[in-house]
Amino acid sequence: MRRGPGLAALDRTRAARAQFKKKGEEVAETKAQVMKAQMAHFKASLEEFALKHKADIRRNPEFRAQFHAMCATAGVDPLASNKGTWNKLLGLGDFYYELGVQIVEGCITTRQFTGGLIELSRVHEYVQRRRGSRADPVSEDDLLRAIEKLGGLGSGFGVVRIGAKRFVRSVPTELSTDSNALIELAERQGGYFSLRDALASTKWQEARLRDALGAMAREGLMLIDDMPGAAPAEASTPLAAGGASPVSAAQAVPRLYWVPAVGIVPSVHKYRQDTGLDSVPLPPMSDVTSYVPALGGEMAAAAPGQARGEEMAAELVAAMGHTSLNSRQ
Amino acid sequence: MAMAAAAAAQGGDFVFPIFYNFPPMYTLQPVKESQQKQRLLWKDLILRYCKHHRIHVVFAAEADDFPLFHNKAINRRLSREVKVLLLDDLVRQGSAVWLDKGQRSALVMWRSIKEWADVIYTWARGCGFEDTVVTVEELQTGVYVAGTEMEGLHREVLVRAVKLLEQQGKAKLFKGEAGDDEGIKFFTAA
Repeated sequence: MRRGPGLAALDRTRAARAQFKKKGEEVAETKAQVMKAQMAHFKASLEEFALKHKADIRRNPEFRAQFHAMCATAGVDPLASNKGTWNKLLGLGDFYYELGVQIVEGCITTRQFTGGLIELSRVHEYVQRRRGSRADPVSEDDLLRAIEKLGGLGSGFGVVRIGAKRFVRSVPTELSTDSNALIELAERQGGYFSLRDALASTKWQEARLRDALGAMAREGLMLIDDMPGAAPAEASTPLAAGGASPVSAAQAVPRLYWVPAVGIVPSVHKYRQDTGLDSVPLPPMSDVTSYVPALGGEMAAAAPGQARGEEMAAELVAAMGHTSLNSRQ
Repeated sequence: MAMAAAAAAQGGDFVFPIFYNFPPMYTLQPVKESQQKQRLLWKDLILRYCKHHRIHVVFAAEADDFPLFHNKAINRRLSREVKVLLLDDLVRQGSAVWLDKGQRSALVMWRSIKEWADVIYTWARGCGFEDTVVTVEELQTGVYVAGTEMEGLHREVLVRAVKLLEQQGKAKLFKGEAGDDEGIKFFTAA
């Protein structure tokens, strides 16, 4: 005769469950300990590796990028702390801090033309020139890391992808999709386009294009250019108020729209090639890193002739948040 | 060779800022902020360029071929309206003076009148010209100014600087008998 579940059976089940639980905890404990030991071992190995290849990490940007990838997989952030083992080992915090300052400086120096948007490769060029040929090279990957640290300060610094290229943004504006499309067009065309080019490329209604161009001009992201011989009436069309002049007004010389974020120097070379002016010698031009005293306004009251705004850039970085670049922990 | 000659014609050894080769900088930007930056850049460039080449008078006429305002490498030139606007900016900050009511030309003072007055007075003392009368012409082209900063100094600048020295009691401007040759007498500072 089968008896139904009794108290004894219940007790038995409970005891079994408790034993399972205990066993389970034991197993988990052992596993955790093994894992811990493995992690410690791995971390030690990674540190050993970092120490061994310190010179390579510091000197070789490709190696550095791979090292960062490896650290990310292991869940270790070598930039997380200025006081931690990692920084003591590698001094990378200072490296990225310095880089961050140089990036800010590059963005500020070019901001008077670019409206706060500049192609990453231009910033890269600026930073390389600024550091000089004797400094260890930096890669775009390094720049992205440094910018990421700057972005953490909530200053509006960040990287945006437009078309195939990455741009560094140093003013906290949101770009509309229409602006993006026109920046992309400028990028493809080498820095500038005519209204006709834009209409053909975007297939937009003229009114929409006019609005988009006006918005970009107001943001300082686009500059207009009337070649000599353009009708004076057109030259004075207030773009900010009314946008671009109608295409229908047949012009011998079309107005050109330039997007300086693409980079002034390459745009000028492209234009000279396109117009057959490249046989005319270009007057000697200053280096991209040369400081423009007239625009000292944005870099506080720098006396003309003062070398460059590194200190000011550092102050700016400091002002963006009350943290240094490395103190995120 | 031809390249070097052309470069010399454009600006000699003067190094232009990057914006000088950027076509939209020759069109007055309709957006206020962009235009302000544009005018600031040009204003600074005009002063530096004139200082480098020791140019005192800048013309605003459309057809004038002042190399600074005509960049052949990108086929862009400033219109008369823009030139007038830029020179007017300089006038407002006290770095230039219109030479005529029609705003055809302006005196660009890349060094202030006070600084020129100091230069002239130091020069006069260095030459031992206290209590001597020197003609304006001698101050511009005389043997004593050859090779100095004062060589070729514009008459208007010179007269303004001497008038300042007059106020300071360091010199006196005399109208010459012929009317066109003015003389300056320097005094030892009290």
